[in-house]
Amino acid sequence: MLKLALKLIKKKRKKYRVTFLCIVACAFFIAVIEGIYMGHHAATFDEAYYYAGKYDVAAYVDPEILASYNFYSEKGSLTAINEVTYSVRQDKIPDNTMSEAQKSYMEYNYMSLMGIRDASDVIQTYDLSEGRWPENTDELVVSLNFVLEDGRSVRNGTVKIGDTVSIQYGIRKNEVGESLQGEITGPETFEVAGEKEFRICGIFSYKKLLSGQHICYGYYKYGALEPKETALYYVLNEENYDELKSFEKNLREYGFQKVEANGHIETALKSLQSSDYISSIEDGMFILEAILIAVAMGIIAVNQYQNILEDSEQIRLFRRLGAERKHIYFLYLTPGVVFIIVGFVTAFIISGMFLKAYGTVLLNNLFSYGYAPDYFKVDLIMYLISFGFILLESFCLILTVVKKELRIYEDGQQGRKRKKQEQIKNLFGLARVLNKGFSIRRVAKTTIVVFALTIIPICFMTGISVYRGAEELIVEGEVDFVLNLSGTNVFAGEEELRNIGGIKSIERFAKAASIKLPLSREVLGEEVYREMKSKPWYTELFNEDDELIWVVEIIFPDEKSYNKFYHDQYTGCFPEYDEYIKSDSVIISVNYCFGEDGSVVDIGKKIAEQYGVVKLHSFVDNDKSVELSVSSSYLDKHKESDGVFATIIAPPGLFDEFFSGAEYHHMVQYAVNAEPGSYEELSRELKDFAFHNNMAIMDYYDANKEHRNYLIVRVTSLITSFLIVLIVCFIVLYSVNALERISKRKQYTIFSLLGIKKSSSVLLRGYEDAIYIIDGLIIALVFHIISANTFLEGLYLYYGLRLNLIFLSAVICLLIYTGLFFLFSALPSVSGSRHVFYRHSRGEL
Amino acid sequence: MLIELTKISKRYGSGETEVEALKDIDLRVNKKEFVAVMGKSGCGKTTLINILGTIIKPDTGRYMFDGNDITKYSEKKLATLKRSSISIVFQSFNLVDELDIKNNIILPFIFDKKEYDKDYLESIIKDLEIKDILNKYPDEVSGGEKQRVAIARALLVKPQLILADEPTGNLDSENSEKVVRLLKKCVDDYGSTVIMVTHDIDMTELADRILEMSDGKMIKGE
Repeated sequence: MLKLALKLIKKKRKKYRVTFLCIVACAFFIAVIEGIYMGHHAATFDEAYYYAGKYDVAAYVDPEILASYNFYSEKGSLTAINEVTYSVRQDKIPDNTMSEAQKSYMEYNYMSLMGIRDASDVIQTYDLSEGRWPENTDELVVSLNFVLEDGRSVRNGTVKIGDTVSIQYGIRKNEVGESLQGEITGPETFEVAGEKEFRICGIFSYKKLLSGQHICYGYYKYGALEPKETALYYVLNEENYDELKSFEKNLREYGFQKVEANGHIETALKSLQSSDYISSIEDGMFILEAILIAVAMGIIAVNQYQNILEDSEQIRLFRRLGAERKHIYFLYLTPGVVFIIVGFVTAFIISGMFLKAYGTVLLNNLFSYGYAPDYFKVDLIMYLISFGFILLESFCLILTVVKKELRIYEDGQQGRKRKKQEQIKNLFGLARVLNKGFSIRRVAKTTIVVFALTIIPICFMTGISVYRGAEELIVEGEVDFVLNLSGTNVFAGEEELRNIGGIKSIERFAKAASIKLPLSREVLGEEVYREMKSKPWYTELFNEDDELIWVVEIIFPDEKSYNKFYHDQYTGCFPEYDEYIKSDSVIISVNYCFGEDGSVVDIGKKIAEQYGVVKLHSFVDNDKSVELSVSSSYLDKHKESDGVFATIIAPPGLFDEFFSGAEYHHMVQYAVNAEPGSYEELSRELKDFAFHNNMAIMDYYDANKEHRNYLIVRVTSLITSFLIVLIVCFIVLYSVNALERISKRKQYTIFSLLGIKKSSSVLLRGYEDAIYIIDGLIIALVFHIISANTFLEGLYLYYGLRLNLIFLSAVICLLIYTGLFFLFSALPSVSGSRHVFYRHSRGEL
Repeated sequence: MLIELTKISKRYGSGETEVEALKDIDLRVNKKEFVAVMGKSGCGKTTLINILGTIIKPDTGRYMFDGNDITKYSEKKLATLKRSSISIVFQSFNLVDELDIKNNIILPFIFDKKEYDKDYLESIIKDLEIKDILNKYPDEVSGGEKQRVAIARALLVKPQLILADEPTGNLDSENSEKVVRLLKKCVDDYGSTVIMVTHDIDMTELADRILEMSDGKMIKGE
């Protein structure tokens, strides 16, 4: 039987050649889509910062290595390893890391040594309030917020210069014992790895926000620090250098690779360029991958369907000769299986080579991924899953078709009940009648239109929707600089900002103030309440009424409403915060990190519930923080307002600030236009401006540069999505038309025998396609509106239904569709009529 | 003279598999003549019908239709001729399943965007006794009725030539007789010329002339 099946394949080898190439093409695209995605993804900042590690000593920054922290600490070889977060500028990486690390300070609870550098070079400043900077390895300086476990602190005077403090250091672990690195995703414990005594030699202060941040602990996207200026690495005390070398050796034995940091920092930074690109296309890519899988299945099924119909005489003959159903199934399933296997193997080889070249040549030039080519490879597991899907689905499709055909030949066609038909008056009426009811091709063609109409706008919108507020101005190239400032008196600085030479115009987007918002125990829920209470850094956040104090931000869309808030606050006329929250004039952004897995969402919702928020506008839970932007009817009215959703993530450390006196902080975002040629000088002045006004620069964009990057993202996103949709449409339509020619073979043969003009025949098919398109348009629009509000919002993108874009997409898709229709109408008509003559001459018709 | 075939030949395949379906066929058919073509399977009857119906072209020879040499006609001109002057009735009826009987009959006119002669259709429907099935679908009627519908569709265009390729092949004797009588009626009442291919000698009784073919040649009645 296998021999017979292979003989049949050989007999139709010309036809199977096309099928094979289509399978290879589909498998190739599937592999490439996954490979490109994985490659890009590996090169985005989330991953790449692992490579931006250390300098002199060790740069093992890898989740697995972090997980092995505990292992090494248990073996007593990690006592010397201290985790250091360090703020560096991309262009000024310190050479003397070791010595700088010794001049470190410690933050509360976690052993965080922070290297201190020349204040003018870093975006945060440290001012020595008392004493001196450390000179010996057993000395440290502490911040004004330094609080010991037993409650002693610098602020209340129970800790002072000259005191000896014993600091525990270790690792944070989640509930399953994995070490945590910055991201607080669930209940955690702090496992002591060691203890060391230090003598306090000085007390220092620093600008807000940055101080409390565990820099590069995953918050980089949300405010205080830009990833561009951050690197994570480890250092150790000099006295333990030998021990670290031993640690390093151990790691090597475990297969971990040491990465030299200097070159990779730049890599990591440049890879940022691709993160938006990736996020803009990844969803579309996977949808397209699903389509390609369907296409591959369709090709196999269509091809076999065609074969089955063409071989109808043969099948009948086989049956008369005693072949059982299973033999017929085997004969027609074998080619599908053979071609899928061979096609996938071939595509695997080709796509592997392509991805290698892509990663090495193209992207290396575009994005400068120093290490990226290693990651542009076929994801074998995903590839095999796709293969399995196609194999299984094709199997089922072919089986269905064979079964159907066998039934027809064996039982005869069954009559169906139909409604009375009106007299057909024209070709459109005929098309309508001929395409009533459910059919594969009808569904397939409609689906194409639906996908085409939804994917292009979604991909496109995803590409540009990631930019909001001031960033939209960057995308549009309308500003030169964007400056996000934070401090206690940012508003006093506005006039000074205007006085900086070279600035042509300033646009302020939003003002924000943080307030404390009590959340009652009842609303919080007993379980969450207890969880919060049990955490050392949360217990202080409960007021005397046992309400959880939440830090929220009120974003004021205009200066007037902000001033009212400001006035009310200081004149004591500010009645209740919740009144403000309920008002129409503010947007509330609740930002917090919670250790309870999932509780961030629940609690965020509870806030909304407690304060009677009319509508949740967006709700972001990135496992590490929650941003709850809630709004009353204001947002409904002004969705396109330029109010920026300024987000300041408040890790535990920040609450020290709030409880130690500085109850409020403010943030403001400016977009600045500058005189051409003054950029360099202006950028320096902007930085100085911030420092001299007691502000911290939260973000600082060279908007022109960003604009260029965004343009790349935007254009590549659009072109990529457009081309992929085009290719997919082309392939699917080809398959569908092939199917149509087969399934309507009898109908078109009759038309041909009746002497129907070719133009009439083409027109009839045109009308049929018009019906599909109209169906598709209606479904696509509904689907698009739904997906726009769920899919895009689900991605935390700000999306408004843009009719002009949908209209544009519809026009493009109609052009594609119409063009393809005429192309395919023209091509198969020759072979179609030949087919008719052939069959008729054989007496089959 | 409606049809004049001179030295018509047709081959299928090539090399060892080559089959000479028609060999130097000469044939003359007058207007309003009912001609029956008989012969064994594979003798070339269907090929002859296909050539007469302009479905395929002969390899050699000349085909004169109503005084015009149509062997040199373009595809477009042939299609026009076929729509206006030639109708074919098949053994397998060739009705469109998605259309009801009435729409099947008027199908050629839907494509041509022309009005059909309603009175003429009425008379055909009456003569062919298919009035009761006009609103039914092909798979809801009998084989004999299907063939009558096919004849009605053929007649509605008022063709000069009706080609019937074994029209009784799928019918019982009673329906077969009916169909042949109808074809004869097409000649007598509607003025068409009918060429009918059949195996059954009984079906040739009403024919004006019987042609017999063997191995691609006309051996009788030429």
